[in-house]
Amino acid sequence: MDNTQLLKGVLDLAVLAVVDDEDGYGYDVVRRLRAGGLDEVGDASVYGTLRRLYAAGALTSYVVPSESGPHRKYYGITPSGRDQLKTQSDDWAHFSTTVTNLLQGASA
Amino acid sequence: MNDTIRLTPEVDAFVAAVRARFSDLGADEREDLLDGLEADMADLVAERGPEALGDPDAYAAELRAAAGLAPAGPGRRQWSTTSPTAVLDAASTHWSRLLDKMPADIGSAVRAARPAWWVFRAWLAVMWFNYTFARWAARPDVAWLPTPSWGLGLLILAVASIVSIQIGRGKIWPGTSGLLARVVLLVLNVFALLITFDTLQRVEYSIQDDMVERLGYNGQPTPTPGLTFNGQPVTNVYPFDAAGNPLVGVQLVDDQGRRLKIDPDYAYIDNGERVLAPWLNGRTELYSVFPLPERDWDDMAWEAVGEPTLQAPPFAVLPPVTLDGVTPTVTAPVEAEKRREKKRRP
Repeated sequence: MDNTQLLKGVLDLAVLAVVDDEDGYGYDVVRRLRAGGLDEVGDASVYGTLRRLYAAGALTSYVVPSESGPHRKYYGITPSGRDQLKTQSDDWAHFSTTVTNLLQGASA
Repeated sequence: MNDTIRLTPEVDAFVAAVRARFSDLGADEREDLLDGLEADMADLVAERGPEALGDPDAYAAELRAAAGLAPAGPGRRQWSTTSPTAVLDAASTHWSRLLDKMPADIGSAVRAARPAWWVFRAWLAVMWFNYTFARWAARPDVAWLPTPSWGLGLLILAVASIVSIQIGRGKIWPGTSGLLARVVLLVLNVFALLITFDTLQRVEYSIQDDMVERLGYNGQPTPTPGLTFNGQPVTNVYPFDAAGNPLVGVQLVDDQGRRLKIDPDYAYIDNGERVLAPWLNGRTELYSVFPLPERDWDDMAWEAVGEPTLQAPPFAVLPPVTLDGVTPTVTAPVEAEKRREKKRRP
């Protein structure tokens, strides 16, 4: 099944949850989302989401230089990001329960 | 976690291609989007090979959309790699890369110092404007301000700095995106660099003029040789004794035993019609014995002619002077002695 459209709606939430768990850099966040089951998530979508959440103040970022080559840009969650995560988690729980109940009613 | 990030040419090319598709964005916005991307791409390639990179067009569009930015304007993708935008992008990428490669994190220091440049170029701009158009008479003590008034000068400088900083931050034109803005900004920055030396030199000269005015010092003092009075050469000295009678043949030395001499080349007498002649110690010519005799100057022959003769002192006698407990040397002048002798004889 193509989850792309569904994913778009919850990518913010998923990214916030992953970063809240532990600070991470772009590709690391992608890897953890995939490991969590979101196999179809696009790298660029995740990077763009990280930048947008950062610009909105939900994430903070810092640079970790590497021994050689380009530096890594890490993201961490801010208090405002944590608030957003909490609100959106509640919304999601409510929404998914509603949809699940609807689907169960339809199949019953 | 793998801490060694290896950049492959594929990653390089891919990031450059993505960067080129963000050329319509402001510099800060673009760098924000691209910062850390190389490392992420390098990880991706290390894990899944270069073919995982995909199409830069689609990638850039996806990144843009996810970051909440408007899609690239129409036609941008058809621009060839030799378009001015692409050239500017390539230069920008190259510069960025150069900074990254610098040792001891100098690149970050240079980036952090950008605001200092913004303020400095604002200063250059107002100074240039003043020198070129306004031409307010520079008040030397505020030579580094664009106006002779402290308050107004600082105000203009503050406003210009804020404008320049906002341009630097990409908030106002020509710091914004777009080819024209980028070219204009580049030209302005280069111009600022070009006038830096000239502006600093003008300010330095103004401050130097101020020093000359206030201290009578011009940085390269050229002292007049020989005896001077108030900075002007002394052309002759007429000593008098305590009784006020003129003396002839007085040798002067200072407390260090140096002969106080007049440099005859600097003694300009009667519009140059006469010159000083020395006293003699054997064959040694002495210009430290006073008063000095004078000779006529032949302009045609360019040499002194005639016998050295003593000129009459400016005063025949001076009022006598005394100092308690000191017995001054009193030498009776030759004339007075003769007169006295004449009186005794009859």
